[in-house]
Amino acid sequence: MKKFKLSTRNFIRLCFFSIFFIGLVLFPKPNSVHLEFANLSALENWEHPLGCDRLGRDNWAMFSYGSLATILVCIPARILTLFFSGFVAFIGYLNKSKLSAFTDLLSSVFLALPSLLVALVTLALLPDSQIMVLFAIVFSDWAMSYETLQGKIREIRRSGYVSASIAIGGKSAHVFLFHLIPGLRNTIEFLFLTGIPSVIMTIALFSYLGINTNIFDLGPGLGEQISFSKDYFNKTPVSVLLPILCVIGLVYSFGRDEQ
Amino acid sequence: MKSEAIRFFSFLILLSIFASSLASFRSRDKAYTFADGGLSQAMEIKRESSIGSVFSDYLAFCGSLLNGESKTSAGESIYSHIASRLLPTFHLALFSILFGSLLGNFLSLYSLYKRNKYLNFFFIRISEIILSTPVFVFAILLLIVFFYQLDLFPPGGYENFQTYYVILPGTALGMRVFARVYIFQAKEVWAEANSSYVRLLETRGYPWKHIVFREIFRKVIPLTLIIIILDFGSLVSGAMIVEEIFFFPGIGKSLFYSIKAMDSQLLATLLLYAGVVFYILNRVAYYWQSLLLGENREKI
Repeated sequence: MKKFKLSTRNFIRLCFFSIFFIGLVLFPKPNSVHLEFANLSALENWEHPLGCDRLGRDNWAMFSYGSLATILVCIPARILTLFFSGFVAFIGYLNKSKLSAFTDLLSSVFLALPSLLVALVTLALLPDSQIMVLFAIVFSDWAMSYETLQGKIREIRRSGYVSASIAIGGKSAHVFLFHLIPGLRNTIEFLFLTGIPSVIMTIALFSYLGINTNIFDLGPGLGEQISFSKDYFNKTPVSVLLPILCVIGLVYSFGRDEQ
Repeated sequence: MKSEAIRFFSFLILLSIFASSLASFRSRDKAYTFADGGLSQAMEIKRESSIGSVFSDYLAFCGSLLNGESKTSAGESIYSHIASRLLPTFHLALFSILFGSLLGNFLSLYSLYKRNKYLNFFFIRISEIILSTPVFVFAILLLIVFFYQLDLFPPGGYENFQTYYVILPGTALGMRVFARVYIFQAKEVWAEANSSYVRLLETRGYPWKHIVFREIFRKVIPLTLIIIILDFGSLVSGAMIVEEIFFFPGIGKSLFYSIKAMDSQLLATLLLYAGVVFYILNRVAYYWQSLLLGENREKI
């Protein structure tokens, strides 16, 4: 029987998600202003054990709902990114010599540009809508996933069973569906899990810059909370430190130990 | 060499098309900025008539780059604008790289010198936490501690060759360099400490300090340099958020301004600059890595 070991990362995960879930259960969405609780310190009032910001919004509620909003955006964004990368890789695969050179060059252009720059330019180009944040993340992040997928596709394409399939008349689409996709499953899973921390950081940064990332109306984003309270650190330090710890906790919890 | 040149020029052409078309799409949105400014119908029509002329926009962009006539929306020459931002950008990048890489190098070697696995574990965890933290968070924490609380450093700005102004933004950026260098190099130096070469030096009576800080350091530093070159490339391309937080007049702040102000010419030129710098330094790192691998192969 495998011995259970609580690693540092698992311990942080346990602490983070416990605080997160308790906050979701105990508090409503921090969408309303309660000026009677403005700048409330931690442990001053047991209804708000971690205090309130200068608009009287509960810090613990903002921690939990800010995390929830980030998770609800980052998972679909990551899925869309992998879908888009896979689609471009598929196009490159179908027209091997013709389009793959172009898609490779296109990905090298995207890789050469800072991802934040690509995301901000994308947001500036697209219509003003909260859902566009997802597309901005996709465009800023797809090239890295594309390169990994292309590497794996090349490896699979050189394998014996793909050569055999082509030799007995298998078409490109057939090989892609029945050989490449199953072969890519582990890589896609790996890319999905390892890419989430960077998406969380991007969302926090967008939120800090004032870009509305809160698609589900769950209160202020984590970056927005930091930006809102940073100049009032002396009055409400918890309102600055808690979202910072939340971003670090989220990224660390979704990260993986090096194997 | 020929294939490298072809690769570079095809990259450059695609990047310039990408930069010019993105920036021109951006400028077409400009109409709404004049919504309350008495924009005439004629001007609107003129803007709309240019939709679809990506090719002519691209040629105009290349022409203005070649004859040096391109200007920012404020009327300043783009080349002189970028030139004025290069010194602060390089100063900041150099400080960050030196801070991060020297600290990462020293601490990884020091934990090995002390043969202290707990110290190494501690720094590995610290590095992981640094890499799990967005850089803007560091920038804000440094600002709160060293400006709001202790009042030791200025909140922003820059004066030529005054390192005082780059300490806070440089530290915020350099921490990530430190974390990457530490995680990479600690693994290498601890592996190297168990090599037969190091065991031979120990049996020959070389002091442990000499073995760690000279022999092991000289063996691992070429590989660490690859990470340092890559990080330097991304810093010279412009650190937008940190420069914006610290009002630092570098390329990153210009990029951020050009996006916000919809300055299409400046944005296109800076996109081109960032892409080319990043590409060149990546290729340098790639060739450096190939050279090292080649050397290793010869040794084997």
